[in-house]
Amino acid sequence: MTVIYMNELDILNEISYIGYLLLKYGAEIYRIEESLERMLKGLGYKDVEVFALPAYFTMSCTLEDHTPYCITKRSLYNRINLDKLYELNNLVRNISNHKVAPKDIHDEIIKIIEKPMSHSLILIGYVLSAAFFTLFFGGKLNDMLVAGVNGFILYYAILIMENLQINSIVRTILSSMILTIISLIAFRFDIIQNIEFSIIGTLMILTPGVAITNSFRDIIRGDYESGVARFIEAFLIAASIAIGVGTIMLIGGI
Amino acid sequence: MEEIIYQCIGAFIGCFGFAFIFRLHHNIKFAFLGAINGLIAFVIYLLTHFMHNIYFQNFIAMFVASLIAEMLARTCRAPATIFITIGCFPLVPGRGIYQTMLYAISGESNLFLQSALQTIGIAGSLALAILFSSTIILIFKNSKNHPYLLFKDPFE
Repeated sequence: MTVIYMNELDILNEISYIGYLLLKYGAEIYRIEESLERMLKGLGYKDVEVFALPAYFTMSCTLEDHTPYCITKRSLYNRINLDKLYELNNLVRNISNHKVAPKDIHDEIIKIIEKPMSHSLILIGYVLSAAFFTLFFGGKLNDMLVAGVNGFILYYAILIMENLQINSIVRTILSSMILTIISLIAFRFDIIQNIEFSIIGTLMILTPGVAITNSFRDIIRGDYESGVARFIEAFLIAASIAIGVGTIMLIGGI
Repeated sequence: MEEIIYQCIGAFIGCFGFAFIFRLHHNIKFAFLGAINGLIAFVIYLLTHFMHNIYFQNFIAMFVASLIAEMLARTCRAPATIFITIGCFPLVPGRGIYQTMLYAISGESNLFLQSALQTIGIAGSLALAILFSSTIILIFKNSKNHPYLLFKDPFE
């Protein structure tokens, strides 16, 4: 009979990996800190300290034989993934309530990571939200159709540029240029009467509205560092959208 | 009136689309609830039009929406962020941000300043509303658990 001996350090590594995943799937800063703290305290570690920033966290505690333990993780490419956040949230709750044994944590994490996501649904999401936010902002059926095409092309443009590892500012400038060009062509061929609606409807995908609200949430909560960092990020993205759209409008003579 | 109905349809399906963009693929129920939450937020925003103050309108709409989100989170055992992130889309100042930066690069400083302040005000009131509602839930939770601890010095 083989006995699988689970080292304390292995458990802590798995837990820090959960923190990394939370960071990667775009959880809020306070959720990362709270989740890690809850899990470590639930497993009985002393002197638990967690500090998180956007794209970074550090976690320290004392082991049972009084050895200090500290780990830092960084995740630069983060993307909101609500499905995985939901699963991870359940896992965190189960670990801190001792419903998942420490030796099973690894398998549970693998199960969550390997759950597939459907690319066609994301594409449908791009088309739907672009078209219907155009309706929301007062567009007609023609505007909605153009915005839907915009969303369709935007999905592939962003996908390709992400695979080419283009910087997010440049990516935003280029993708807002692409969608403005499509709207401009439709406008020149008299498919739409007003160029504004389809542009702003599609731009809802790119504009950092949620990011700016979240940054203010962080600031009001007291996480000033991450709040300011996110505000600056949102500001730069907004500026790059305006640069992209403004340049094409200037060239197109609108 | 017709325009308002179109806007409501747009808000609902647009929110649904954003749920897919945010990779909510296995829990379509949450996407649906979040989109309804967004619709409710927008309807409240419209109903409070008599106040003639967009900050207050945004605050009340987001406050109700995030209270609903907190309750949904308790019943579905999911993080409230899911419902808030999807539901806040009709209210977030996406258009304001775009307009602001467009004014900035076309050199219209007065309009830029005006719309920048408005955008920041809206974002601030949304954030405050979310925080207020989560505080209310926190108060309920903490006062239920140990009412006698309320008079203890927290820094002891």
